[in-house]
Amino acid sequence: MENEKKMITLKSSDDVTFEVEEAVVLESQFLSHLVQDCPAPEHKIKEVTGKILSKVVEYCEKHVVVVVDGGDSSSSSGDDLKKWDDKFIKEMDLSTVYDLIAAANYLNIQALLDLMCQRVADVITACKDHKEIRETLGIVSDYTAEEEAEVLKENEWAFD
Amino acid sequence: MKRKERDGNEEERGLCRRRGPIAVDLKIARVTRLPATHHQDAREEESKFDSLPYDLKMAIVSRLDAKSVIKFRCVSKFWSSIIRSRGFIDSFFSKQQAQRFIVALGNGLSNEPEEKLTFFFSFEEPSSSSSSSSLVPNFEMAIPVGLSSIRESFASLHGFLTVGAGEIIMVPTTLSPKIQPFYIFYYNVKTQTLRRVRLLGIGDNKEFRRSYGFLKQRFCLVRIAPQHVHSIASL
Repeated sequence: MENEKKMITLKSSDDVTFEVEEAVVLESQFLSHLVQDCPAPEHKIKEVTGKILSKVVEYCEKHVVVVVDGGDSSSSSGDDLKKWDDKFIKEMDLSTVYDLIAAANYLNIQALLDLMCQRVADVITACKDHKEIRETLGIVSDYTAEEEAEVLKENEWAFD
Repeated sequence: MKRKERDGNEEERGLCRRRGPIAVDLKIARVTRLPATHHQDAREEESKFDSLPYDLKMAIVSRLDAKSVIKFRCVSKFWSSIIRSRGFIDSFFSKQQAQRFIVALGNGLSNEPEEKLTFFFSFEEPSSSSSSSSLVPNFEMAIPVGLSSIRESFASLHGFLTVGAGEIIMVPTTLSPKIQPFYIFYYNVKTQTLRRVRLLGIGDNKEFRRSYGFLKQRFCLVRIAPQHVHSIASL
């Protein structure tokens, strides 16, 4: 039925373990090198927590399945994947998104990194003004009231 | 480290508060990765935008559209200086996949200062395979500044400019008061060929010109910028 699949165990910084197929691991450039260079059955990823690693694994599993299936099926698999991505990001708070950005960067999963960066960019784009951006991202302004009035005047045409 | 669970939370919140100035230091330090201990120490801590490494924050900000970038500039001095920097502008371009350029038109030198307006129109970059084509302008925005006062920003783009793929665009710097087609010219340095691209509306459409006040003016200045964001960023 199925070929024998090589399983690999990933262990998060807080010792949560995930058993995944090798194909899933190959979604990450970092992990694929790690697995090649060091054929141990278990790999500890010190930089990523269990909570975030579970999201990473969820994403990679979903994407690897679609890529394999997509060989002969219709283009709907691409649409489905996009729908799945949308749902995946909408359910996440920004704090998790930031952690996933850091994790995707570390593990070198470009598609996940792109997806998450775009998510934050979309959230920023949806903000109506600079105050809402500050609030959303938790950025503290270092402008004085006068400086802020001036910079706003300079750029007022960007605010609808 | 000796700390109880509850005290730990207190301390973590303290860490959050202190992160502001640390993030500013990133500008100099160019930290590209958080210390590995960060997650272990502060497991329950809420991650913040500012806790992301500098290059990842840039990866996000450079995905924004021009208006959001300008709003972002008003967020803090730190971001304002980043967004004005040459490095940011360059990286912004390389990410803008859509080949568009902008034409700025000032509605006359003779107008009263309060009547002066500069209109920005964007055009899709024509494909280099076509020998001649015409382009439809998309009105982007109007700003209440006469073109002459922002000439400095466009000085390097005056008339001639190079675009990608080894081409030079040649553009008339004023709009003829006559109703006639307005052309820009692409000169390909490699193949030494010239192609002409007509910008619709601007030169040849009376109604179009009237609606933007380009009809009776003796002088309408024309400036062109290959990447529309550049002109906005340098204003």
